Amino acid sequence: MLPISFKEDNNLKKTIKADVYVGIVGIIFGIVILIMTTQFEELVNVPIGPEFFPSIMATGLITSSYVLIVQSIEDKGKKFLLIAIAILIAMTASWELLGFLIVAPIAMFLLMKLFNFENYFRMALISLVTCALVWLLFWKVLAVELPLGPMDFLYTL
Amino acid sequence: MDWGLLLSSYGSVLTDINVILMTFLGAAGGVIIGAIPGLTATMGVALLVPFSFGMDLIPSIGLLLGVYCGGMYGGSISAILLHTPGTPSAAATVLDGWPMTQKGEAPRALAVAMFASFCGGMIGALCMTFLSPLIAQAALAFGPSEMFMLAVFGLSVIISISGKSIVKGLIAAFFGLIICTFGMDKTSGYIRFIPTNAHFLYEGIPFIPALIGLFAIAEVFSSLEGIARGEKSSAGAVNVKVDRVLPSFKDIKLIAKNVIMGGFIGTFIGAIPGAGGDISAFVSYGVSKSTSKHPEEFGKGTPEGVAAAESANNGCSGGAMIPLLSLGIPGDSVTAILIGAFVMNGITPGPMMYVEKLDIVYAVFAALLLANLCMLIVGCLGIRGFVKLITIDKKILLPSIMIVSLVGAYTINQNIQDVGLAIVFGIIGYLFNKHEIPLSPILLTLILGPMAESNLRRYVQIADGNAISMFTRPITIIFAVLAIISLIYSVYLNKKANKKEETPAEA
Repeated sequence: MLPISFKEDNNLKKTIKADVYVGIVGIIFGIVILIMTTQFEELVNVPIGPEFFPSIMATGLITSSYVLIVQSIEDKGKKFLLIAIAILIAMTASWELLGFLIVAPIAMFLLMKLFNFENYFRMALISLVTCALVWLLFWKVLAVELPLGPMDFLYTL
Repeated sequence: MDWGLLLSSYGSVLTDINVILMTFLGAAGGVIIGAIPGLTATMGVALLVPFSFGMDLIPSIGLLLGVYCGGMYGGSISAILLHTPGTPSAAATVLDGWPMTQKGEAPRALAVAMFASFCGGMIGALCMTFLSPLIAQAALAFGPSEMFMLAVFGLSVIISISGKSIVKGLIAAFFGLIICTFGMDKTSGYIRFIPTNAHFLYEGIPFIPALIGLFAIAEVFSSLEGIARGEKSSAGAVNVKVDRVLPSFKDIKLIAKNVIMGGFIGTFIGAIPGAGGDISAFVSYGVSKSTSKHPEEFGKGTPEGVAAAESANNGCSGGAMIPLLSLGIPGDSVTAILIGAFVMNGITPGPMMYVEKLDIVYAVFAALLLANLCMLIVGCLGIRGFVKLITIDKKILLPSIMIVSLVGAYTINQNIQDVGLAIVFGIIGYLFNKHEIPLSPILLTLILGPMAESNLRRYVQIADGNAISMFTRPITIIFAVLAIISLIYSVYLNKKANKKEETPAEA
């Protein structure tokens, strides 16, 4: 970390602002690469295709650029907002793969932590129970089957 | 081991004035070729093969090995003095060599690099003499999964070369890992991210133009900006005195561990076909950093870092000869050319060579030893001259670096697009420098990224999509564990270093 003094304050602010731009450029570059990888032709009989490696690395670039932006924002309000957005995006991205009953409680747990909840046991319990209830409500009452990923077998019970 | 034959072969090589002269000429030429960015040891050896046509086998092998060893050391000269590795193998030398020059310790860095190169080369040559059948067997156990994990282990160094901000280091690394996938995918032949008519990018982003752009051109851009604003430029310290050409006893004591470790790491990695000096230098640097008593000094200009990188890339030259002679498989691109030289003289390298032509095998070992000795002498004689380079007025030096860089970028493929690419990378490097994003992770990922990707995919293809089965192979597990340890340890070190810097500022 840079030592903060009055004289350097201006410079520090400048680098922080520049860091935000670096992050934005990184995210844009990553997204362009991700979009390009989705347009690759699909090859047959190839377990890991040519799109695999670049798309993972682009995700890594987007994530680390995002972290850089969050790190360089000093206003705690905005910072927490950005973290919350990141949690929601991560939840959406992994929803279909891992399933609602795994992703949602974790996301809720993290969001509760962000809202300054302090008792970890109660946080875990509340997020699990809430998400389970939501899932049951949607399934039994509203007849919407939320994707459960590896836990899909619950629907056959 | 036939000691009598060993001694007589060594004797006949080391007393033959013709062989000595040729090896010395080779080493001198190699040092110069290596020091010029864009000209690599491989190219030097390739250029000289036709000249060795008319010679006897041993003098011609001596000449080629001299170029090989000289080139490996030569790359470090420009890495240390100009912030541009002369050859890919010297890429890791930049990390500590350049900061040493900035501190005004260029002669010390050069002396350490030379000493480490020599010792690394000697370790390689001796290992080759006594252990080659053993090492050849171990190297053959390296399949795609082992190579993949070796690359991952090498990549785990990223955090320790990221400097202050791990996040910025990761951004640089991911950027490098993305651009190293540009071009034709080596596993499927699919063309990724480039227009189909950009033929010069089919083989991926050419490494040397990228290297020249990111380091040399970017550095000149930054200096130009500074000079125009009237700031004192950081490119090189003026008027450095050379009081010794060999490192002091204190320095030797400091680097001894790194040199020995680097020599063995280099020899072993060199023996693995497909892995060469560039990879071994980074792996050795990483290992040295995590086993050092002062890991926080790495990257800020410690002789230990220079020594680790240089001894490993020279150890590699011995290592690469092992599969060449014992199995007939070249360990890197230089030994691939050397095979040609053997065949031209009617000798086919391979298992039978140890049975039928043992005298020639031993003579090759002796020639490698001699090549390293010659390199040491050339280095000692040249150090004063090399250092003069950075005492040249910047108004002359920086424009000259610019021109030489562009020529270097052109030479490698004789392709004008490569020059354009070098300029593009120069601008990227300049922007990265400006925003304090470290460049070394890009370098590392350009070397290790393709190795990681192609081997992972090769393995998954062989294992029918079951990537997890990789962890049933012992060597893979060892590298995986090493990578995890190195990652955790370097995050811990980074935290500790940042804390240390914070404390005095608060007090």
